[in-house]
Amino acid sequence: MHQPDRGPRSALHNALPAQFLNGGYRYFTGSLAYVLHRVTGLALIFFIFFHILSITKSQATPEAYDLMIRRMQEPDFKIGEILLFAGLLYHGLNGIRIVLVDFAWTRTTHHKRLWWGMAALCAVLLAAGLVPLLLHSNVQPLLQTDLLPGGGR
Amino acid sequence: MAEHYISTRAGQTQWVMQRVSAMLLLGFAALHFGLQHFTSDAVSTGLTVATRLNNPYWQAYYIVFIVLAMYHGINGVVGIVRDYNPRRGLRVGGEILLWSLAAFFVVLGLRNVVSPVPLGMVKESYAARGFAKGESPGNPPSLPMAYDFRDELRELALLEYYLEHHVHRTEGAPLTEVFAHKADVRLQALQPAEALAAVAASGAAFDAWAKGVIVNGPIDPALRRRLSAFSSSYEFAVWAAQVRVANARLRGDDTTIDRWYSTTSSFLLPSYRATDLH
Repeated sequence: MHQPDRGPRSALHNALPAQFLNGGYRYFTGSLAYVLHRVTGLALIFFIFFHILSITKSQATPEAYDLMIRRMQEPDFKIGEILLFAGLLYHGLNGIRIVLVDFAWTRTTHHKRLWWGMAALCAVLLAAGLVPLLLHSNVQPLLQTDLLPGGGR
Repeated sequence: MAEHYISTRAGQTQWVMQRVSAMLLLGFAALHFGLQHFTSDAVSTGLTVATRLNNPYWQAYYIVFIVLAMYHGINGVVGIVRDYNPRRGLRVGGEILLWSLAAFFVVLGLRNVVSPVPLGMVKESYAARGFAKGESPGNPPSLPMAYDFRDELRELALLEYYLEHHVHRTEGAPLTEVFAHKADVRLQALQPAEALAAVAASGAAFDAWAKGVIVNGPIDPALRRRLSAFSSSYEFAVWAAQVRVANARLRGDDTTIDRWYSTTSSFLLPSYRATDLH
């Protein structure tokens, strides 16, 4: 069954809300992959700036380090951790796809299917990773011995 | 044939290097992120991080990682700038700015790796003040996530992690004999008082183990191993006893303090100095 990749009959075009389609930009699988790769890449480089700066600040004394870690236990950082994981996962997996397409698999027949397969893998790994990330909080330590430092073996 | 289409114009090297650094970064980032986010909380404590940053193999790992990540990231932004086809002056100025930013952050990052806080200073700091209990400096203020390794159960869990991962064991007692609280802790759901008693009993068992190791005295220096955070069980026992006393003072636990500073026994707890024991 042929599914048009671009133009008004494409699946992506139908799925997007109307305000995305007014700008004249043509959305199709490849452009979605490209936009997401660019957005996650920019987010990751800004994260690395923040990461290096906060570590530099925490290296002043052992107390400063503990204070930084204490701050990073808070809910806003948990959300950031999940976003970071999702961004890394997409950027990394799509990067593998780009290198495959550039160097190993130059036939264009299945490029679209390759991206959707990669996106599905990304979603599965994200869901699998969310379980430990969300459980890995310090709530009620007495009830969750396996999640304690030193536990979980 | 693919080679007919390879461009030899400006940007070719950056294009290839972006892919080479990407493939290397996959492994580096996966190991770093997995270690920091998918393993125990204890890998983020000051002691564990100081141990890693004072280890030459991990230092080499992070030097390569920082340089690769900053190259890949800034090269990617340079590519984005080029996509907009700016005027020549704007492009050259932007690239100079971006690579200066990269150099600045590489210098900052490498400084943290090449000259980390000395491990001895970190160990002495915890021996003096106990484990971390930060008052939340942020917003929202610490509602669902408590971070208190002075609580006796979490303190013991952390000591167990250190004994298992960061101590060059020079005595033979299995961990299950040193720490006894694990099986009883789930009682807390039904009988909090009994679980707290089980944790206190485990603390007493740990103190008895540590006291036995300290009484045996320092080991032959030839048997120590400097790459471990604690080069012998003796060093760890002295350090852990000081940490236990500091934590007990902060949570008002007189039983533990009396156990280490008993007036009736001749035992004297040595003070912890990292330089003495190495």
